[in-house]
Amino acid sequence: MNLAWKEIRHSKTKYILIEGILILMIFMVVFLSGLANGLGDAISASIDKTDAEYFVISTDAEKLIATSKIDKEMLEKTASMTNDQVTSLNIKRSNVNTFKDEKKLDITYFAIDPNGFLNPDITEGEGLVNAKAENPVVLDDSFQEQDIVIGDVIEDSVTGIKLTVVGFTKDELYGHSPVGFIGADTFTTLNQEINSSYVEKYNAIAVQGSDIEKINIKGLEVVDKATIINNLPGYAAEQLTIKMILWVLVVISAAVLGVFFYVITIQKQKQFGVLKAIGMKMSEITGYIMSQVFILSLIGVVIGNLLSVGMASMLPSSMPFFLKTPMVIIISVVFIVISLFTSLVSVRKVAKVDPMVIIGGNE
Amino acid sequence: MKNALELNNISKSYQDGEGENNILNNISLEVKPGEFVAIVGPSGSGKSTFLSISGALLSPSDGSVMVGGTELGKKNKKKLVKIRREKIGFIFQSHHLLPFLTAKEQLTLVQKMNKNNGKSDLRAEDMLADLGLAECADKFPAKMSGGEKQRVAIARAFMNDPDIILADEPTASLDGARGRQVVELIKKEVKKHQKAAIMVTHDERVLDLVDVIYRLENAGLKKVVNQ
Repeated sequence: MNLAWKEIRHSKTKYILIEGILILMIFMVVFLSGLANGLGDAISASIDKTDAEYFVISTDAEKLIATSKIDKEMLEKTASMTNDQVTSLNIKRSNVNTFKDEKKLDITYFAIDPNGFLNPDITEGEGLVNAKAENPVVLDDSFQEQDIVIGDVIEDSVTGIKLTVVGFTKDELYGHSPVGFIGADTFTTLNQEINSSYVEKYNAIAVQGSDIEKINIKGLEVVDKATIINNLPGYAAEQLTIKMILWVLVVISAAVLGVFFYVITIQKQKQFGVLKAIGMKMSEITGYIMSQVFILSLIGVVIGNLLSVGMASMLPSSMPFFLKTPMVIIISVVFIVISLFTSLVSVRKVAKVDPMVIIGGNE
Repeated sequence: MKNALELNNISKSYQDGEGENNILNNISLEVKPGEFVAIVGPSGSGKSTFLSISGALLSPSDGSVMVGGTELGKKNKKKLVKIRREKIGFIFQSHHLLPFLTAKEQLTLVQKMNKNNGKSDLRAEDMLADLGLAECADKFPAKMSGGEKQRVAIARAFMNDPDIILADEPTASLDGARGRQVVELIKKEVKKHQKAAIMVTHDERVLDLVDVIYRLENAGLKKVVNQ
């Protein structure tokens, strides 16, 4: 039935005004979702991006990967209990100094086995495995904004040990700080500088696949990646807050459309009376109302999304913003579904209109 | 000839406080195809109720209604919608056209609604031309004069090839000359398509155009003139 579209085309001003508000609200919602993802990534990107599906950590760490401690021998023991690849991981926050100025820079070391599967994708320079320099480090490319280039030497602020920048990777963040990948042996060197009796230990053992049933070691547990991310400090709190605001906004914007539509419906009661009098079935009228709401919400979603994508391309790179297509699709679909649902209030109103109102003129 | 509309002993009363208010009391009426009937009466005499009952919009408290040989009495709401769609053509007091459809679309809407029941081979263009509305075909109601709008409404009432045309004070919103023209057109189409028509009116000046005049007064219906 194209009555719906014909009416929208005929009363352009009225519907453009409604559409304008809808577009702004959708834009706000989608933008917020980009912000939620961006902030989430700033905390978890380096864990999220790994090839690992599960992590073995110590039970007493209560799923907090950074506080977990695993003895060196457990790596081989774990490897013997699964057909998947396993590799060690250490995470440690620190600071580094550059030799260009006095600035201290935040960094989180991801200490990995250079031959293992946790190696990041290199965007510039070379990976740890090929590096010939002593104590090589692969940095997130945000360090390039600090004028650090390949071949530079940076100094670990705590120990004074010098690290050589051999390559860059991108979008590697953990706990709002950029990540530097170092070899497990470099990590041991760093720790022995502080504590000479340090023996190699790991925070976690990453498992590449899902063959985990047989991994059963006393004091250790196997935790999936999503749980690890959820338990990163601040992650759940941030995500919960923003997502709650986001979904409340989705519901509000759909309700706004519903209310607008209800007001329009009340204005058009006579018109619906006429349609009923000339024999239009309630099912046809329902289709007419619902398709109008569908058209309005669909246009709002499409333009609002385009606006968000356009805006995203203009944001400074320091702003944590990242649009995830599945998330945008879910928001859009949920919005349209709730809109259709709220339009049922209008349908109910129309169902109650007695076509007799138009007989006998306008009393 | 079979009657297009038959009202047998129709009564309609409303609960009014403690007592009952009899709007219509034991009314009977028969209208044949091609017959143009006028119902006159003072306001408040139940003309609207009478028209609503004849038009399957309202059920009588008592009595039976037959439209095109179909008894309405025991039908549920959905069936009444179907009756209105297929057997009844309404002309309202003010045109009540849809503001967002052109004159032609107003007619094709009714045509599409009746596409599947094999009724109506009338062409919207012919109908418009017949009523002198050829130039209005692509105009929206807001761009038409009052008389033009009411003529489109007349055309719409015929588009479902109904058994009966019901007109509710079709001249009320028009001046004398235009009102007369509109009733003349209703008459012309009624005769041409051999439809039964009932017009409720209190415009005395157009009564010479109808075949039979009834007066509705004190809840009863009385034949006044048989022209």
